[in-house]
Amino acid sequence: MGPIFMALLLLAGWGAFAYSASRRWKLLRVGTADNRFDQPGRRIRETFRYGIAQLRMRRYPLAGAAHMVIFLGFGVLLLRSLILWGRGFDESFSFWLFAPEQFLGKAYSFLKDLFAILVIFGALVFVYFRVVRRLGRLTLNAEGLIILGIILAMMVADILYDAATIARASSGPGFILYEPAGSIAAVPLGLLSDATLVFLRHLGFWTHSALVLIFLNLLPYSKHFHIITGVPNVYFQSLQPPGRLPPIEDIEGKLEREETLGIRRIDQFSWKAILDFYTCTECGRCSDHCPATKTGKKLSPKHFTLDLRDFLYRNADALTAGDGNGSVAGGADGREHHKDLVDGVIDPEVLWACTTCRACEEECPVFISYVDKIVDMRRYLVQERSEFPPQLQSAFRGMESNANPWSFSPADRANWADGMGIRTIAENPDAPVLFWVGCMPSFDERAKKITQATARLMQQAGVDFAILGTDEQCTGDPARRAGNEFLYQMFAKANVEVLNGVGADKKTIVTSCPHCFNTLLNEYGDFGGHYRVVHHSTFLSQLIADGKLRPTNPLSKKVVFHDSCYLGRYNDVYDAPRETLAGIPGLTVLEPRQTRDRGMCCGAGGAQMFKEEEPGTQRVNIERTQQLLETNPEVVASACPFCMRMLTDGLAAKGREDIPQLDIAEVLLEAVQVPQSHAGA
Amino acid sequence: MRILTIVKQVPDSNATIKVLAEGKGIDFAGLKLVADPFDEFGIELAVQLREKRSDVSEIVALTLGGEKAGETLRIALAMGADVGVHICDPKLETKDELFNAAVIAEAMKKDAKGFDLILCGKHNIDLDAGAVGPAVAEFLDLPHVGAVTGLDVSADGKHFTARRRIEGAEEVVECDLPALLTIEKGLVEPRYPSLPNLMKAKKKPVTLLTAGDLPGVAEYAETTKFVSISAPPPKPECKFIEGEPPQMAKELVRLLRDEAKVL
Ligand code: SF4
Ligand code: SF4
Repeated sequence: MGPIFMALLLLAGWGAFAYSASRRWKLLRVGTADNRFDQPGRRIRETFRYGIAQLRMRRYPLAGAAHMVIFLGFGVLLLRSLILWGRGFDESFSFWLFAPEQFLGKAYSFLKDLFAILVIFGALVFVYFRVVRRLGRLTLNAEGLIILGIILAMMVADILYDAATIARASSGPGFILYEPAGSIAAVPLGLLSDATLVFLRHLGFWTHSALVLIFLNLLPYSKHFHIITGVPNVYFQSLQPPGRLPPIEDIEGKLEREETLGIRRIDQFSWKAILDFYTCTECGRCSDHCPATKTGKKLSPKHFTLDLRDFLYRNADALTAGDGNGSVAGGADGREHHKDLVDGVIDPEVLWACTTCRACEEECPVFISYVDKIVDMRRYLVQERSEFPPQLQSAFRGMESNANPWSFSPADRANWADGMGIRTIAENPDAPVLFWVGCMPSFDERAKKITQATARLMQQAGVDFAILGTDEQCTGDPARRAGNEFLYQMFAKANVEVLNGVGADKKTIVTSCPHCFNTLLNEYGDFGGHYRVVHHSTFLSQLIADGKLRPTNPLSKKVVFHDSCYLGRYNDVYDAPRETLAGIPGLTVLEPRQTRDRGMCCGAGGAQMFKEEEPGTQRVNIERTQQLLETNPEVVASACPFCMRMLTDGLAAKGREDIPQLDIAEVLLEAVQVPQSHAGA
Repeated sequence: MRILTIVKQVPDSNATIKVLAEGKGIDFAGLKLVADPFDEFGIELAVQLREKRSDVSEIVALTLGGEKAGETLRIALAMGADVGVHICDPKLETKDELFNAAVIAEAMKKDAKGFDLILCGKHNIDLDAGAVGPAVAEFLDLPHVGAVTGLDVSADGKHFTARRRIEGAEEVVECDLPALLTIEKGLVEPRYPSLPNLMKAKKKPVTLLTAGDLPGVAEYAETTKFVSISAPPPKPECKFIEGEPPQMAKELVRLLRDEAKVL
């Protein structure tokens, strides 16, 4: 069917693609180093689960199914396209085994027809989402529709080619079991003249063959690049605990060498970040669940990625010209591709709106990361430019001079324990359990009650525990999430020294603050601190399971539980707090619609607690409180002092102070307390 | 225009102050020391003036005290001062304000280039005293405007208009430079020095002066005498009276008469 023409077509199509692909490859290599080649076994497993089986796509059932069909369809039809290209040279080409008379050929032919139809349905579902439903998460633009149009046209052209072939067959049209789509479409074609059929057959053949190549060439310039980069992006995902931010190594040295702390320019992102930019499918699932986007802030994670991607693509030529070495600071040369990203590419307000809740990262089907990028850009803003929301300064200064972000006197850190008979680690060095209290639970009047409840429960269960007392300092988490890595590292080093000094590596550390929990568990390893850390929700549920705490006082209340991001999405602790509550006789645990890994952030994380909320249409905590109130609860329960503050404020704003906001430890204490025995220590 | 900012090292406002035995002074061991937040207003103002104007040639930060006081200069230099002057003598830490003002004035006289604007905090948070600024102005025979909340320096750098809050009103003062201004809270918000600036501050020059460099100081004597220092008595515990208003009133009267003995 025109070998010369087919040869030219293939040469042009693949040649153009090779050119685009090599440009993208070069651009990828502009990124800084990042070792993502470890643990191949685990990576292959993850790739199978999320790249091939696309488990995350199911979180949106209809879109997930439609996508699965198209994904499988493309796989099946790839062979078909190869066969058709081959037929450009030899009319009967079929990769031998797949010849129509072979069994494999028949089976394949059936499968191909089936998938061609399914792909048409899948693509129509996407057209429906875009054009009819106009889903907010999607951007209605020509690109998406053109691509869907091409997919539909490819399928139709393929069926047309088959149908015209069947209609011309000497035996005349009839239903061929292994070519269902073709033979059905052949029925009306039977009425046409042979010349028309020949024309239609050629039309179908060449349209399909050419469209595949056009499609291929659109990929590197569109969101459909994910067809190529999606699976690798899943393979190269971070295997670190999600709660660990990579530290800036050798800050002092970097300062000496005048290297950037954090990310200032586009070429300071790693190659993996660039692969993220290539891969974004623009599906908007991230923004669909982002508390900042939901409440009208300037931040939309999808647009954050796209803005960086577009800037990267716009400057691709300059960046690959060879002078864009990310490890060199410079940058003030006034050249577009060296410009500070915060000056016009990403508005600082976008960066400061993030609560680091990881809802986006939990949702993204291709494992694009945000929190590390956002924090890296904050790191530059804070440490080099000293530009950040003004209220953060008092948190930084408080941490610097008083080891807590509120500037409470460090001498008062253990005052909550007065009269409770709790010993410090100096007084009880062999205690197997170290209760790491945390700043807010040590100083805040309301949060102290959580601490006291937790301590009472441990006492009641006969746990031999000790506290650090005034030797405890802030973990540094607020500074780290706010981008003040230098300050964070000071605390990390100091705390690791104290903890290792008291042998905490051989103890169990219990915390009631999920932020302390995450930092101690996942982030101190980089500074030589490897600890067994459990959150009080896990610890208390274990004490119940072991029969050391017996919640016998019935509490006939409907309690809605709010997941803390740093407990749930960060560390996969979803069941323990629920079990702690559910063990109380009479108590019903209610689940809001947005719960567990889709639970919405309270609005305090990522150092938001210490700054004014960025401008928007609603406050995050009020939005979340509203979601919780929709379950008609009698009690709102949480397992984080920060969440508690946000939800208490949220309930007040909603005029629902009649609903108590309690920590799970406080609820449990009510259920286990034996009125007459205030046992104490 | 050359600007001098005077900075004192003081205990952090949230630190717990311990008094030495027999009220001999404050126990500085382990005490967190910072640059006085009011003096930081002066540094910030100086740096902002330079950012806004083209005629600020140099910002000098000056402190006095023992070696440790030098840390305060690093903060000032990281915030944007160009050079530091450290009158290094631990004995000065226990001298009274007039004496130290005289020392500062002497040190300034040694500076050949002279200063057009001298800035410091309205008062220092350690002893809540605010005499150093005005006294330096007196010793140098310069005009002084205290507790400034607004400042406008003329384009030629020769005059200024300052606003200051006074009891129930705002006073507007016009004056020529050179002059000494003490700064009230609210005029500027001190910046958080960036890390590269903290690094650069380590390389900025600091001139060390000792008593020997300031012969004129010998003429001054202290005008106050330190007797002793004591911690404020602990707050007595609050008592809550509960019950119905009539009983509560009765109980209150009883407590005031029998326990507090004020009736
Ligand atoms: S971490 Fe949370 S707040 Fe930040 S971009 Fe993702 S979803 Fe939005
Ligand atoms: S980042 Fe991920 S979730 Fe967000 S739009 Fe892109 S592909 Fe979708």
